[in-house]
Amino acid sequence: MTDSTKQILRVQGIHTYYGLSHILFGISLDINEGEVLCLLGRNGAGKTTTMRSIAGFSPAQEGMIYFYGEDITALSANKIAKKGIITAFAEKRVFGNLTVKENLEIARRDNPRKKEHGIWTLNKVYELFPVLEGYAKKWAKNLSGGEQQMLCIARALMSNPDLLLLDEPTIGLAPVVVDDIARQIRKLQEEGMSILLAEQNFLFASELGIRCMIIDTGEIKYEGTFEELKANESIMKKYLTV
Amino acid sequence: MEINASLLASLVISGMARGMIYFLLSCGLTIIFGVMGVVNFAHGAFYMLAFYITFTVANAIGFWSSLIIVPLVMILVGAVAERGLFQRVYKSGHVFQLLLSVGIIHVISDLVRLLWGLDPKNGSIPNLLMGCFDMFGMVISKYSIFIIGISSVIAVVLITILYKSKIGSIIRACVYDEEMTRGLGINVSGVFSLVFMAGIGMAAVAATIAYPMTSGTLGMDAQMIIIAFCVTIIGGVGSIGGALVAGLVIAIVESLGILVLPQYADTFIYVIVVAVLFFRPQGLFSIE
Ligand SMILES: Nc1ncnc2c1ncn2[C@@H]1O[C@H](COP(=O)(O)OP(=O)(O)OP(=O)(O)O)[C@@H](O)[C@H]1O
Ligand SMILES: [Mg+2]
Repeated sequence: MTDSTKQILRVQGIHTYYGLSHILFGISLDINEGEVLCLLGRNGAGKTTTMRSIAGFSPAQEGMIYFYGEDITALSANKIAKKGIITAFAEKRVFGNLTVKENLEIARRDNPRKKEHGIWTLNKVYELFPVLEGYAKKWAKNLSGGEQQMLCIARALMSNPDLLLLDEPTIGLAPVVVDDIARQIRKLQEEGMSILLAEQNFLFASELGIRCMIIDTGEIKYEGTFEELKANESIMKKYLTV
Repeated sequence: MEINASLLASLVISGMARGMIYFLLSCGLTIIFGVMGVVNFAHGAFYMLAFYITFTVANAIGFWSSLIIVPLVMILVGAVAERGLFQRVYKSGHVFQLLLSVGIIHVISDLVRLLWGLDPKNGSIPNLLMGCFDMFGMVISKYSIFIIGISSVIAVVLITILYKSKIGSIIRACVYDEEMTRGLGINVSGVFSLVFMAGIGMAAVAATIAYPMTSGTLGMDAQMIIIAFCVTIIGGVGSIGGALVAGLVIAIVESLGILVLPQYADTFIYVIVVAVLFFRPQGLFSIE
């Protein structure tokens, strides 16, 4: 890491609850601009909850979250989205009663931080996901799982986020589609998008990220590079289902 | 009574006119339910309030002015009710929403009793639209045609906004997945206010155009809220198109029911409601 890398997100010791159940126990993480940070962990480890806390859907009760140095811990979800953090959930959550194009258009938002050439438009999104252009007038609920996942990412891009929270984008998808999505995420990476990627698919994640963290029962158990992790069999066995 | 084609056609036309009023009344209930998840039991009371205000405004400055003024006044009432009251219970669950609605029903009923008394209030059809005309041997009331015309225009405008504009997409997105809509940076509470105001405004239009041909009494709100619920169940929560079809079906079934088996006319509607609940509980035009 050079001095010129700018930190985009800093999460400091957050605790999050669903009702009375305590789910996250002091999660901390940092993401630098243009980095893909992978959050690995088994079912129920707390990956989605971490993202929900960052995005303001399930606010953290303790700890701090800074975005470009600004405290966003207590902001509402729509304010955080406006600031430039957009989530693409594992459950996809496309608006099934809207067409593909409508799904994309309602998310459109300018980002004063973005330079002219980096702005996501309908055309640019279709370039990355050509299959969506053909289905522009189709109801989103009639898309396949893989197409819905692409629409979900594409919709997130339309709001020109600075940070993308990608929650298990490959879950339940056929290997061919997983390859497609990997290629698309890599393109985003090349464009300099900062991404927090939650994954159970170790291979998929290790192809995209350099740095990773392992979360289990709401705590960070490991932090390092994929290379170091690959060499550490006991950690891999203990926390991941590889 | 002899049943012939001409009588049938007249009944269908007057049924359609009433159906369009049901539609205007119910689209507020169904869209508020669909977007905010709030079952506004006071919707019928807002209709009643609009009806009584129409009585006063129409007598003071005429029916045509009331057609504009009353919906505007009610939109304002809707804004105050949403910002001041309903907004506080969006997250509190149906029980609190029910309590609030029942409270509003009582307040509006007492207000109406206080201001307008207990006598039924009747309007009269404006001169321009009085009487009937002959069409292919059918006798058709001009006012029915006026209602069908004006509400068709409103229906077309509403459906165009809902399906062709960005705010329409946002409203439909809220019906489908409110949290995700927020997650895209959309100011959902602003959308809620807008939808609530529009919903009450539509109920007011329904009350105003119903005024010349119905009699208003305290308690009319109960009757109207039941119809609005039937429309919502049959049409599907959050579906404007569904409310249109369901409103028309209910009113036409009422009309024809009176012709065939007068003592069971009301029953037919509930038979349809039960059938829909049994075979298609999400409603005929549900978004799911
Ligand atoms: N709405 C909820 N209410 C109560 N508990 C919840 C809720 N959602 C998740 N949990 C619990 O919180 C814990 C963390 O769940 P979370 O969804 O964050 O895990 P995850 O790592 O995303 O898992 P997966 O890989 O299965 O998506 C789990 O024990 C889960 O049972
Ligand atoms: Mg998850």
